[in-house]
Amino acid sequence: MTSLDVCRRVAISEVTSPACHFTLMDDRHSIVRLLKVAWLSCRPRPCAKQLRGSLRMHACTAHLTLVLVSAVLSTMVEASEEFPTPLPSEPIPSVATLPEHYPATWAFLDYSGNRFELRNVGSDAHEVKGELPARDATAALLIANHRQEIYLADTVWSRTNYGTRTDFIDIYDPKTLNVTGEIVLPTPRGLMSPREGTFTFTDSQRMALVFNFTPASSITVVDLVGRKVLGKIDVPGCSLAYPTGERGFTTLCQSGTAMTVQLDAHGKPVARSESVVFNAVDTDPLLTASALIGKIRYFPTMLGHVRPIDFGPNEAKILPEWSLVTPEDASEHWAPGGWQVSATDDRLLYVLMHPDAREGSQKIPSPEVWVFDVTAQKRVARVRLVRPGVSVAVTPAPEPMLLVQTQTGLDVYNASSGAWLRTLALPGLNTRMLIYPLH
Amino acid sequence: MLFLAAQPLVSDSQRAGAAPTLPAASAGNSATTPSIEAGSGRAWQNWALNCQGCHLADGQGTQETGKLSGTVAKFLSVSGGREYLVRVPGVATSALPDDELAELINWVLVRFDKQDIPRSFRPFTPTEVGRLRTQPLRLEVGQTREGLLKKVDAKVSAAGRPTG
Repeated sequence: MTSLDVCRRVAISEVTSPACHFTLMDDRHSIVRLLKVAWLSCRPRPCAKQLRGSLRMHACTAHLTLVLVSAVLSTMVEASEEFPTPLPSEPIPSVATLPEHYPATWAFLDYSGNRFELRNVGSDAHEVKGELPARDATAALLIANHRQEIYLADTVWSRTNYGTRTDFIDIYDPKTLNVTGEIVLPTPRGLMSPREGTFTFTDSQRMALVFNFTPASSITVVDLVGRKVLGKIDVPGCSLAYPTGERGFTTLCQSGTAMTVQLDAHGKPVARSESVVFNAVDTDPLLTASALIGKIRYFPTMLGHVRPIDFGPNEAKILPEWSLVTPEDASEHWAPGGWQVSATDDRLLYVLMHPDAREGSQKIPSPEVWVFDVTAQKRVARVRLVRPGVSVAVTPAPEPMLLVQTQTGLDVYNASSGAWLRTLALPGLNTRMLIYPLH
Repeated sequence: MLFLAAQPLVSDSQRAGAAPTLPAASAGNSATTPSIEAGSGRAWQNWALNCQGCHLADGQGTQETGKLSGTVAKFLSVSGGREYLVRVPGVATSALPDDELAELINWVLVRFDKQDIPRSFRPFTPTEVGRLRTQPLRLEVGQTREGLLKKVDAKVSAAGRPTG
């Protein structure tokens, strides 16, 4: 491991200083910069106690020993000027654990191939609580609340970008973020930008479903309790999987229908139904970035409608479409735009909206978030963002925060008032993000 | 389907055992006089836009999407195979209208597996395709394909010919 690698691992653990940012963004480095990073990162601070301590501290120790030999004195002087009152030293290694149930102000941020970062988005202090690795940009996360486990579906090749391919699910202990098991997937996963429907629970979180695209479409059914693959179900002509009914899933088909498959306790399909055509795939398709309120998912469409689908019954029920845009706003051509374009606090629907919509603009960052009462089918608020948003999420009640990934960071708003609260840096983010609030 | 009426896909000469006569590639192909060669004509365009992403430009396909080259017309020789070629979801649920879809299936058969087209073959018509595509195969698609290919193998073995 080179000293830069050490620095990276240290810096990634807790990116708080401009020096760290610089090192992460730029491979050109000097010993002084390395020292500074190591020094700043390893200085005991209150929030450091909550990190995955052992790796970080061992790395810090090794690195500090290494670099102290050379230019340490000048850097110490520099650092001491920056921090005139050093914090008391603490014994190392210092391994801390995370709480069994994460607070509602925490969220996993998917850096699309870089890492999944667990952040306290309710804090101004850039509190990184931990992180999970993402080997491939398409890695997907599932956070159980029925058992103490986090699942991460990922893909590696034996020579990084070629060689033997392995698809697998890692199982993590949420308290230590240590791997406690793995399930190897026999069918290659669909490799697509992080999005909903690629990795999901069913059967009250006893089973997981993995969407495969080889490019034939299929679903791998996984027994999460027995930690084994139960089987594979072909879903030709259809994409993604949404948990449906007691033990089943619905997939969206090319023909504009939705097909629901019910499973037995062994993961075998026992019933199937297909809806009428409702998804205008060529003219106004559903955006597969929906918001789940109760058992109903609200799918914004490309042209600014919303299609609710009830996934509660054993056969998905397609509900009537309604419009996000009033006739008064229609002349400005408002429509959803971004990546993760919708979110919910379990009660209201939040959608990233942009004016002057045109062909292809459904993925551009949007300047506003519109908030809807889905029962009244009416807009109840309009949040004018301080910066255009790419992805949105909302943390759970009672004090929901609206999280907006921008091209430079994460803007946090009070979801109830729309007031901007803080902006958090997202070092290493190169692309759109998927945000996993802890509902 | 002008070309089907004007120029049978399988000619008399093929029935007599000679090489089939096929619509020739010619300059100035119109939408209704398709070339069987890649690079021109409406059927090829529809193939390139709707099919070859998964079945690959040369019809070799992948393990799970199925190999068309040297295989696809074999389905015509066993019962249920003709229906399968339309009901397979990539075909049945495509965005193409019935007439273009019928044209495309006929084109694929000739383009990728003309040697296996049975002598008794009647080209697909828009009406037939329109009827069959209303019942796409879903979960059972893999099993159906395997069953049909077994029937094909059995038939080939019974005829004492090497498999293709």
